[in-house]
Amino acid sequence: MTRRTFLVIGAVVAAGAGALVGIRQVGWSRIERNWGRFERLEGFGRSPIARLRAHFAWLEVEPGAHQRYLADYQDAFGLVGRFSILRPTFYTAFLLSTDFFERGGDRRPTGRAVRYVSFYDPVIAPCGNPLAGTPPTDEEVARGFGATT
Amino acid sequence: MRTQAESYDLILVGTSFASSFFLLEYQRRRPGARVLALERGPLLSHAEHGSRAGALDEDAVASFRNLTPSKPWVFRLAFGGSSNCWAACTPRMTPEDFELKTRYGVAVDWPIRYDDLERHYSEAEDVMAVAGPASGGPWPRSRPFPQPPHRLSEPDRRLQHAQPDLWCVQPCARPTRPTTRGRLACCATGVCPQCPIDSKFTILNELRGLYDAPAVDLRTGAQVLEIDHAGGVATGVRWTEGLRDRRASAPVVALGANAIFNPYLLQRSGLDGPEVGRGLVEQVSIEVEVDLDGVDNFGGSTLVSAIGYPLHDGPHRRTRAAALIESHNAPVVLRDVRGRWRQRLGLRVIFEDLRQPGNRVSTSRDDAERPDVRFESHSPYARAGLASLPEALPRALDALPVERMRIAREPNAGEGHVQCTTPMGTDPGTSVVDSDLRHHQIRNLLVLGASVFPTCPPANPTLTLSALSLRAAERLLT
Repeated sequence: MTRRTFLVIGAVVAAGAGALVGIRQVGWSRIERNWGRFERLEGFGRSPIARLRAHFAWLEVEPGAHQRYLADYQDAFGLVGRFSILRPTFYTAFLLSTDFFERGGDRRPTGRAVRYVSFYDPVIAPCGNPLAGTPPTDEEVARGFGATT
Repeated sequence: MRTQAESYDLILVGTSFASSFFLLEYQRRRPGARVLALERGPLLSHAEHGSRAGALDEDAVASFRNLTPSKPWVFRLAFGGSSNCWAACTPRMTPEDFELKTRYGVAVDWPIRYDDLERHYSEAEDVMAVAGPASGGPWPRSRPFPQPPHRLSEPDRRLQHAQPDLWCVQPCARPTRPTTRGRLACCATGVCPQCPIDSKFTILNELRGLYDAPAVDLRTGAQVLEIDHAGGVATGVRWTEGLRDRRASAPVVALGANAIFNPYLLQRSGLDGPEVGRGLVEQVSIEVEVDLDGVDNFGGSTLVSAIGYPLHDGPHRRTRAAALIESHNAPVVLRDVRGRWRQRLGLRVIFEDLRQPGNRVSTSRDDAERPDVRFESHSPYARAGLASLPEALPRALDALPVERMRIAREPNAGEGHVQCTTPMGTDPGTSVVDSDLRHHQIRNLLVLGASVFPTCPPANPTLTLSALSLRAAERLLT
């Protein structure tokens, strides 16, 4: 074993031992609980529009939709910039603000660009929950809907 | 300046659920009786409650001295009280909840049983137009819910299929059909405290008319200062209104403020006692996020679609608190994974609690106009329940393909269910009112609302306190 190899192995072992001690001190559960904060750093240093575009690179979006969303988002939550740690709902609220779910885009390709509808705010735009089911119909109720199976 | 006392048949303090359901039954039995209703807050429209919610919350916070600021107590000071900001979940208490001492050797029994309240539960549900399951649920019923149930989500259905006795549609005052008074069906917007379409039951949208009766004198901006009494009989109340000191008399006085101001008014009136203001408590809840493998959530037709009882009754209740599990449908917890957005379930687990002597409402040495509110801790019983959750919850969700479960770091700060500060009971030494909600010493003084709960069960208290008010009025007048 060369001196160089010995030092590399020693450094790796020391780093591993240090990591184990660190995890033990901090507690794995705490690290796991806070992992989401690191996820929210996605695209850190890039503009919010660029972060949105990158996050939804697979999704065809009508021109201007990202900009409109960001403007509405900033009206609701304040300015966000390149170095903002975004709220966990920054990306999912974008989808809810478009016709993505309404057109079933989460189930199958729709073959068209998603459109920006309005900023997802259930107080300002009520009854716009695209994921909610409807109450049972009278026919369903007559058939015993809601009885314990 | 003091004015001459006006005379009524009944003086009602507060206009929230407790007072309004009492008034409803009282008017049915005494239609022409003269009633004075005193409301400390303003009479606002539904829209104003939406636009002024922040200011109204601040008014409530400023109305008492919170000596434990980390523990908020949420309520609304306005006509209709907290009905203007509740989420409208209306599960009944279970028969076991009334018998903690007998069944589990814990705390005390209520002085009434489930069967004593069942008929009044049904009446309250009719008034609120509660939507509930056609069958199932741990509440024996004498008649069906007035409205068909909401639709369950797929995870709810799987849980119910696996444990039909332990999971059912959440009963709620968010209707599935338009009501006779014109409330729209719930559209699952998911922001129930500020229901944007005025669908959930409120005093304002269903019982406002009670206060328009010619024999009812509604005063808003009327802050009650004390109950007048002499020789063991309540004679009336004193209040301020528009900077004027006023007084009225009546043969019956009913306190329907809340669990902070009911005891405070008793204390201010020289009706203090060892249990008055003592034992302030509410349930303790915690949020859980469950990632599912291949099962979509969010298909329910209202905010809370299902309610689960797997952590409720059983031998464990001898040593740790029972809990309810609420299944939530608001898409704010959407999963940010391509193609798996719906594969996340939001749960709230709500534990019961017990009265703790160090948690209390009292008159303040430093402030003549506001009560001191001190909260030392939840009970060891509730804390044991919380501690058991990481082990108990996975078993309760066994029917779901759970990929990952995250229990919140800390319980929620508050539930908005202030309770237990003027408990009901048979022994005047350990309780403040009897089973008919009449004060043990001042028999023509009633205390209404969740302040009379002797224990704090996991179920949301509103339906129970409303049913208790209906029963109290009936018992008073028969």
